[in-house]
Amino acid sequence: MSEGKRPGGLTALAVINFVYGGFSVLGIFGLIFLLNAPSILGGLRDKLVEDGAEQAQIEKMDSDIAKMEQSVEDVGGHTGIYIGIGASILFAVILITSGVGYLKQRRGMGRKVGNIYGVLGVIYNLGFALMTTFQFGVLIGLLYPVLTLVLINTTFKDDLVR
Amino acid sequence: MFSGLNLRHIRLVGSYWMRFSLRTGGGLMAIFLVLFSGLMVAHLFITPVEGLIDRASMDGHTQGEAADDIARVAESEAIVNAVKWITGQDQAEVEYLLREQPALLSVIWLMLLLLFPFVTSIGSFNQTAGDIGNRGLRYLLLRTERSNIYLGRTLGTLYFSTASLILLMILVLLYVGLKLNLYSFGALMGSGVQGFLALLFLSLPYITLCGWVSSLFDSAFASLAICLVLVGAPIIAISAIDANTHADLEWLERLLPWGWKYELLSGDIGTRLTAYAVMLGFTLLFLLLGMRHFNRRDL
Repeated sequence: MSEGKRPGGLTALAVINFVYGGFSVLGIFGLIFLLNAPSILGGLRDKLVEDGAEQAQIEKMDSDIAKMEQSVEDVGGHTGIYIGIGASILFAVILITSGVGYLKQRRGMGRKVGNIYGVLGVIYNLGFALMTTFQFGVLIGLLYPVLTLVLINTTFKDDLVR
Repeated sequence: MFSGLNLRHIRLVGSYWMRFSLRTGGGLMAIFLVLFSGLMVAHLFITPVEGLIDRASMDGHTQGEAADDIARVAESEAIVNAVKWITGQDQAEVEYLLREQPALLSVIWLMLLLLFPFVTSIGSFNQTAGDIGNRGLRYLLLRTERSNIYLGRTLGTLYFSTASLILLMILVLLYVGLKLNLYSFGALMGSGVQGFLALLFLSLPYITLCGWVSSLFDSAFASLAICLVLVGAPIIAISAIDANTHADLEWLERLLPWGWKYELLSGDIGTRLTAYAVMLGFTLLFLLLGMRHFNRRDL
């Protein structure tokens, strides 16, 4: 089986990797937006003041800025966002690399990098749960890394050998 | 159609097919979809409850007080009316699900009942179509009869769906039981078994329907597309007609497994057993139609 035709499941696993990798890239943009949102809104507020907007409008904008600042604090402040951006970049690279590895049925690029993703995914999700609170979303976060670890070390072990 | 049936062959084909399913894209997508969509549905309901518990503990309330508050909200008339509107069930059935059963689990099972026909189709569309297309079944035909292959593949798909479902149920029940600690062990197990049986019986006709469709085509993709259309189109059509004309189309829904799904969770044991029997009837019908076609077609 090892050098033979690529099984459909491995192709599906690669596709899921690319989808997850794409979401990681979108996550980077989301976090960059979150990082800059309070200052962008602050700029808009100053513009409203300059233009002589009504007090109600300015108060609404103040309330939006406060909510956005609270959102930043909820994910661990600026430090938390930088860690999140770093992790998202790392996961995007690992997921896309291992996805290509699965398609080419490579031992290093596929199985080893896939294992690295699985282990890092589990550590990241459990670490996040320990630092905040263990909520149900953590189970969803753990699903794909655990599935990856199981599948590439059992079902597709002999297919990732090139 | 039943000549040459051999239980040992059927079991053998079934167990190999279950293991082989993971190697095929369809099998992997099925297990991923069952777990991912199931956990997402559970997440929709569990996360707000967790938020309430956290807020209650921050306000100095005990977990017992928080559980009482959650039960009061879940059993309120507003929630009963919302569930009644979504499911179209009568007051007694909804009160049974929300007030006599663990409400949080009941709403999760209700949502999964809406989702499972589609998820099951994705796990069942390629029982024979792919191998008909690549002529792979010809090698098996040297060793056993067509009926054994067909029934074995159906059994293997059922094994696979059941294993995925059990995994999902274990995750949800363990989390609700150990982390939220809202219900007694007996209540959790009772609701869990009822939810599991409901989802399993609902999956059966869709597994055999997709098995039949799969025997009609020699392309897995065509089989997937037709399965999803056959599962989704009647539901969408009935809903659209219902919304535009306000006609009572319950009788039309009853011609589909979809129309019996909520009875699978009924508090009345007679209604529930009838729904199980109807699901088995649909299953048998689709199974026989699929087997008949598979036995006659060019492989």
